[in-house]
Amino acid sequence: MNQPALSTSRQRQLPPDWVPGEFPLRNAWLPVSNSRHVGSRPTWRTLHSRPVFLWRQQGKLTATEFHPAKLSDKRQAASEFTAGSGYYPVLERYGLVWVWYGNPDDAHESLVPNVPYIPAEGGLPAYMSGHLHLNSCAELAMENLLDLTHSDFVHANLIGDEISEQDEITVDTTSETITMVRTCRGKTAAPIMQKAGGIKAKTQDLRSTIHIYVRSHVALVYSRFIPGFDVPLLHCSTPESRNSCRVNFIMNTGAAKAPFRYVMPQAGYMVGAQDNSMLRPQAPRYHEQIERRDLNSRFDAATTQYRHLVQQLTARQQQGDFAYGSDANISGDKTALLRIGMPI
Amino acid sequence: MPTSQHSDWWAIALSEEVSGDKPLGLRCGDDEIVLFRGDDGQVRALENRCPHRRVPLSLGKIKPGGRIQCGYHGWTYDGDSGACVVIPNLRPNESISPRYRTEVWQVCELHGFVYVTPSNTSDEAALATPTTAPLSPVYSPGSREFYGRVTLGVGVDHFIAALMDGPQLLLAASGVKLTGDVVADPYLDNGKLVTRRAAVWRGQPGFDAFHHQYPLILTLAITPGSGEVSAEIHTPEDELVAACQLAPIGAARGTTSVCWRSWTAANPRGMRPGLVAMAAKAGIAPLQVRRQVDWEKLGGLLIGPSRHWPVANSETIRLLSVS
Repeated sequence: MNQPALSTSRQRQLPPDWVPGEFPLRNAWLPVSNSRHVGSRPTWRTLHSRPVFLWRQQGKLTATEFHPAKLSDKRQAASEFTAGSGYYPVLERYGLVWVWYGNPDDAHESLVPNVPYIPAEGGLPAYMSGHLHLNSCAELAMENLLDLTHSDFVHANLIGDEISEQDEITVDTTSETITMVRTCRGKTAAPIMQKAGGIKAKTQDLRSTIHIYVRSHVALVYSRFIPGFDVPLLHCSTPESRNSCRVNFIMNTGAAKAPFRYVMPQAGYMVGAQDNSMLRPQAPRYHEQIERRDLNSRFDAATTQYRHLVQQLTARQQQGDFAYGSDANISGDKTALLRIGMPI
Repeated sequence: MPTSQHSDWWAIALSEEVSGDKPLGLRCGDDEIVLFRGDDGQVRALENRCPHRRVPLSLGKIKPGGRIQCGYHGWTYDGDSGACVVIPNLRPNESISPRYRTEVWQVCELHGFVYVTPSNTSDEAALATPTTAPLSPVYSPGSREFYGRVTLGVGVDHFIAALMDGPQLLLAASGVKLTGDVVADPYLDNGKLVTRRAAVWRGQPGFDAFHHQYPLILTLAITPGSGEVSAEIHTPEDELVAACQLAPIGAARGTTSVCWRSWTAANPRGMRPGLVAMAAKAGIAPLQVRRQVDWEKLGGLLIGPSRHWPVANSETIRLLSVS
């Protein structure tokens, strides 16, 4: 049967301009698991479609390309990511297990992202952390975080609608990070703070600072609600494949009142499902063989700069340059950058 | 009302499926379309893709004034022009570029179906309002009307070919058994490819040593291009027993989504046609697309009249016209 002419008129042979998830960025620490999920029995994760087996050998954290029972047999098939040894560089920080994805010779602790609001040795209560699976690549999940205006629609039942008296966004980048600050005044109060946090006000002032380590797909999200609480979130979208990512999150709500302190981290599961309802149908459309670039508004400044930054890093790595820029400051203290403790 | 029997209009939904409460996302071949009804009752059709971040608009909300709002960031589009008319939180002095728009499809409703055609169609004839029910003088369901949507695991061309060669495998009739017997070669009637099959009353003999004619005829009239099918069961005296209008559309992964509506004659004459009408009043559809298909039988179906169908090309039509 003939099809309407519209579809054929749009087709073209060239690839689209932005295809998120197509190039796995290398030489970065990627958080693959919550520390408490790794014990003496091997557990299995995926990193850019490569298997990662995690276990503790007499207490020592170990990450390999193959199951420990098969390691000696398969070691000769080990990849460049373990320099032929089968063992990935691995460490623990902030209650997460981080695996180095790249040249093992370049792995260094100073390249683990700094998270100022979570103890480096971990140990936060289990209710503050969680994990999700999203049906999109890590880049789209990161965009989703930077794109705060979607919260007004997708998460309105938790965070509140789009109505505010004043809404300003600023964006700043380095060669490895992007920082967005959204400041709202007189914004409709977040329903979850009203219901679980005892906030009576109808409106709140909000400052949400998001700092993303692009290579690691790790985001620090520090939100301050007045009246209300500070909600510090560590959100890691670890790439499993071109079409999926695993989100490990830790929300340090220790300073908030109960029951908000307990309820808010668990709301991450609802937020994840809501985001996935948009990301899932969105993701495959970036693989269409149709040249139609996304339209943007001024609220998309952060996501467009994020795309630009990923493309720049990709171009560098495609040319064999895996070094960190001098402005990267990956492990530097981010307390001031996140405006922790500062008035709105 | 202008009519065109070789139009580029596609019946993609039932009127009842399109509401003013929730947008309806559908696939039409390679295109994805969102349908919604404005507060004026009119149906709008847009590409089911927000040009901002590519999310299906069918996940969004219908807004007053014939508009639809994307569920991801709230960008809102005018259903008539496709123009983006609202980006949330813009300042009053900020305007939206006229190039910010989504694709619009022309849409009309006829005989309980929602038809669309690309808005960039330049052919005047193709833009004429679609016509249906080619063999009925007037579309006039005589009793309660039935409707539904079925998705089948064959492509549109194979669905239509199978309908021509073995309608009994795809259609179910109340009180009537459709047979595989052909009673006439395909012919053209008002630009539609028409084929006739025999049918018998359930529980009654058909054509055998003691019965010299079939008691019923199933007529299928297929519209080339859109693939719409009109199926009607008549007695030899040309009394309508049951009718069904089918609108097959190519869906994802080689499947076919078929919308259908069926009805009986207004004043059936004879006991058995009357029983079919009574059954319809009691809630039994007189003719409908089967939800459960015998794929074994369909796979073994011999090619018959469908040799005239493949893509209903103009050469086939020309040859049939000459003959």
